[in-house]
Amino acid sequence: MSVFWALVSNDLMLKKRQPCQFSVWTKFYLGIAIVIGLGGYTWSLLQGFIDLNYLFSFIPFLIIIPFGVSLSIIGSEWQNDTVGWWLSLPYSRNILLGAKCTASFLRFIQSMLIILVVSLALALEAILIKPDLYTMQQLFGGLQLGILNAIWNILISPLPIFLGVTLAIVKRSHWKPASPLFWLSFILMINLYFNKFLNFTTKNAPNGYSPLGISINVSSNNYLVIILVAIALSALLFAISSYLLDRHVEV
Amino acid sequence: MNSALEINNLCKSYGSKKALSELTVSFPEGQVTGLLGPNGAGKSTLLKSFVGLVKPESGTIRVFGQQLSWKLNADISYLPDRAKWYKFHTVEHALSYAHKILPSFDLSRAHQMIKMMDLGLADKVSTLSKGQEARLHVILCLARNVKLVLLDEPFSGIDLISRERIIQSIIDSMLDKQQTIILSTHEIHEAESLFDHVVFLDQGHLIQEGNAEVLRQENGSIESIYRGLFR
Repeated sequence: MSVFWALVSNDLMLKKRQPCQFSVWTKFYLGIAIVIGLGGYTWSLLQGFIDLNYLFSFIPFLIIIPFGVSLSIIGSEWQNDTVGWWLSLPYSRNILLGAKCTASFLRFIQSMLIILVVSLALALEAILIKPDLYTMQQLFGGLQLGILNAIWNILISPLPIFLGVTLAIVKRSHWKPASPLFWLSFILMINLYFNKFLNFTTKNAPNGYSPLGISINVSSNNYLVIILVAIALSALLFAISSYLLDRHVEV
Repeated sequence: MNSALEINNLCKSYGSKKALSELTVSFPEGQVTGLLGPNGAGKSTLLKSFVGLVKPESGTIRVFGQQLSWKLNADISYLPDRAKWYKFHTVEHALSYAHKILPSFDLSRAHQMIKMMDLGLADKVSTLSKGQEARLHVILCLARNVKLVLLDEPFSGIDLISRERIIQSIIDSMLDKQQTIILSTHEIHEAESLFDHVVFLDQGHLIQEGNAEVLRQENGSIESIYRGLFR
């Protein structure tokens, strides 16, 4: 295994807690929360409050996840006091940061898959409990939308990943005073994205309840432009964070 | 004798506090140098600057005649002060990870040292005591075939037995291979026998340096020189 993939594999373990590491009380409260959540969901299904599209329509919002993942993967080196080992490794800062970005990307893909599988399981439960109200056709429609949104999220995820990396590095560099500016740009980007590209709709559910429907509103001409802009901005942010890590971060 | 490290007019400040003040000093090649001084003397800052963790404002550092860069860290084994290893590793996983990412890491030597240091391969780093984790850190540094080893406070806050084991491993390491070791410590009494050369720092300034044996003949022990300088 190359050094890069050894670093990626280690970075994938950072901040990750295995269920066996949870305390008995954490497991207990987690179990209670799952039971209450599933109970509430099943009750809502029986009342006909749930629209199957809704189960998959929140996926565009998950574009926030890679930002948080990369922020925490970088930060954990400082939190765990392993940063001295990490930064004294004889590899370029591009390799060290590239491994963290790759780990964040893989973790995001893993999260998207888990969320899709859980959403699918919940939709199947709906069909089993109320076959008169919920159909396979609705499920396929919702799943198709969910998968497309997940793929779109994955395609543009480098931008939030590199933004998270940059913010994490700026916070620990001589450029720390500029940190609010980077946060502001992140908030502006997220607002722009949600306002410009997410289409919020309300649909009439079977019993008249109107859940929120969300879809990505990008014309086919703009897909490529958006992806290219995301890649260009990501490259710029990567160059900035690599430069900062090399010249302006002290431990 | 050749110098492994040559430092000229090195300056580093943290705000208004000067950690290193026009420091000029050299460290002889192939010897164990004790880097000594009270808290805040600039020892950790100096060691960090050798591996690029601290960026001096002015001055030069040459390691085996070369300017500092991350590439040079392939020849330097550095044990950070108050460092911790990845909690989710077992001792065995830590060795295998070190073997993958640290150039010149001798895995079989590391396994020998694990036995000598009385550590269990299956033990999780998160369950190790402070002394056990310190021993693991020293193994990760000394099992590398590098020219320069920097140990920043390897005995800090650990028990007598762990300290003795670490000292023994440093002695073994010096016997096995020709390395330059720079050891920063407050445990002068226990580490004194290791030193071939000693550098005393205070508030970022060089106070005294010299061959340990000569200094001992002139002043008794390194510890007594330390007391005389900083009392």
